[in-house]
Amino acid sequence: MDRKIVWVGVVSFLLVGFAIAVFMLLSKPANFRGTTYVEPYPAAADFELMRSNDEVFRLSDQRDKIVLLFFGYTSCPDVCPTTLAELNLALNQIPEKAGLVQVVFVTVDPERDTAQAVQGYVSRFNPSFIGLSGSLDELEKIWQDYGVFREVAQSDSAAGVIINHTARVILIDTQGNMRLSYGFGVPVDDIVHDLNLILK
Amino acid sequence: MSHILDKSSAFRQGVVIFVYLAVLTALEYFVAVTFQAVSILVMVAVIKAALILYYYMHIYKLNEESDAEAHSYSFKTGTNRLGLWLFLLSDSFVFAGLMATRVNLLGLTRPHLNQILGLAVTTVLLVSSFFMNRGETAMAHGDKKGFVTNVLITFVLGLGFLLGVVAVEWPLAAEEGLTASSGAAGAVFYMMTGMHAFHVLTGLIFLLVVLNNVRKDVYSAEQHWGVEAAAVYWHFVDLVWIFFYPALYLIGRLL
Repeated sequence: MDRKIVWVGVVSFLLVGFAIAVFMLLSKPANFRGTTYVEPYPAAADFELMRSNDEVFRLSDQRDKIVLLFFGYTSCPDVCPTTLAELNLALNQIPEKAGLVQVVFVTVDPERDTAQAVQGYVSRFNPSFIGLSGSLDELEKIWQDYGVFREVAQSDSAAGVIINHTARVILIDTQGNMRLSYGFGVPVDDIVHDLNLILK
Repeated sequence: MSHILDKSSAFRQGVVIFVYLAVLTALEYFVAVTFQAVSILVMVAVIKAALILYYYMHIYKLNEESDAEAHSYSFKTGTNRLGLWLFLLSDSFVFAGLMATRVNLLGLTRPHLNQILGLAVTTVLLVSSFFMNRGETAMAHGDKKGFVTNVLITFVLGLGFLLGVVAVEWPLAAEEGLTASSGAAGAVFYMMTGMHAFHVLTGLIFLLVVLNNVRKDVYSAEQHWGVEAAAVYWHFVDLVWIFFYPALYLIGRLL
C-alpha cells in the first residue's frame, strides 16, 4: 500500500512536470504576437533629426523607453492616420505604462512635411507622439537603414502627390535592438499584448 | 483495501495525500501566475480530484461485495453508500451547470479578485479535508476522542472558509464594483461561490449533527455510517472547490 501511494505521487508529479516542460518549451518563442526579428536582434540604426522645437532628437536617447517607429507623411490618405490612431488606442489601454513607450513618426515626404507640420500632425493623435522631418539627404539614409521602400506616385486626387511607402511599425527595445514589427492592420490587442509582455 | 490499514499507516496515508494535494495546489498557482496554460490547470485539478475521490472519499468502497445479511448494519451501509454517491452525482450536475455557464459567459477571462484571499481560503478548505480524513480514520479505529478533536478542527476551518468567502471576499469584490447585478462576471461569481458556500454551510451542520451523535455515543469502530457520510460529503465540497478555484481565480486573463 505504501509503495502504491509513492507511485501515485511520482506519476502525478511527473505528469504535471512533463506538461509544464512541454508547455514552456513550445510556447517560449511564440509569446509575442507581432513579427519577431531573429536572434541576435539587429541593432536599430541610430539617427539624429531636428525637432520642431529646435531640439535634437537622437534615437539612442530613447533607451529608457520602448520605441515604436513608423514612417509616413502628413498628406497620407489612409495608412498613416489609421496606424497612428491605433497606436494611440494601444497606449490608452495601458495608461500606467504609456510613459514607457515612445511613438516616433518619421516622414517620407520632406518636400511637403516640415518638422512643425509633422509634429503638429502626430500631436493631434496623441500629444506624446514625436513627429520628425529633415533634409532629403538625412532622411534617405534613415529610410535605407530601416529598409523603408518609398515611391512617389502621381495622382489625380485632391491630396496631390501620393507616396507609396512601407507601412510597418518597428518596435525597438530598451537595448536599442529591433525586436518586433507590425504590418498594417494588426489588431490593437496584439500590440497591447506585446507591449505588456516586453515591459514586464 | 485501505480501510484495513492499521491506524498509524492510515494516518500516514492521509498525510502523504495531503502533501501531494498541497504541492499540486502550489504548482497550480505557479502555473497560473507565470504562464497561462488552461490545459495544465485542468490536468492538475483532475489529478487532485482523483486523489481525493480515492484516498479521502474511498470511492472504491462502492465496489465492495457484501454477503452480509439483508438487515445487517454492513449491508445497509452498502445501500446507504450507493444512495449517497448517487446524490453526489446529481449534485455535481448543479456545479457542472454553473461551470458550463462560467465557461460560456466568461470564456478565457476572469473577474478581478483578491488572489491572496483566494489562495488562503483554498488552503483552509484543503487542510480541513485533511483533518476530516484524520477524524474518520480515528473513528474507524475506535478513537472517539481523536475523532472529536479532528472534527472540531475541521469545523473551525470550514467556518473560516465560509466566512472568508461570504464575509470577506464578497464585500471586497462588491467594493471593486463586482456585484451580482453588475454583469455576467458578477452573476457567475456570486452564483458559483454562493452555491458552494451553501454546501459548506450544509456540511458544517452535518458535522455538528455527527459530533452530537458521538456525544450520545451512537457510533463505534464497526458501525459509524453517519461519520463516513459526513466525511464523504465534506470531501465532495472540497472536490467542487478544486474545480471552482482555478475557474474563478486562475484561468484566463483579467476582465
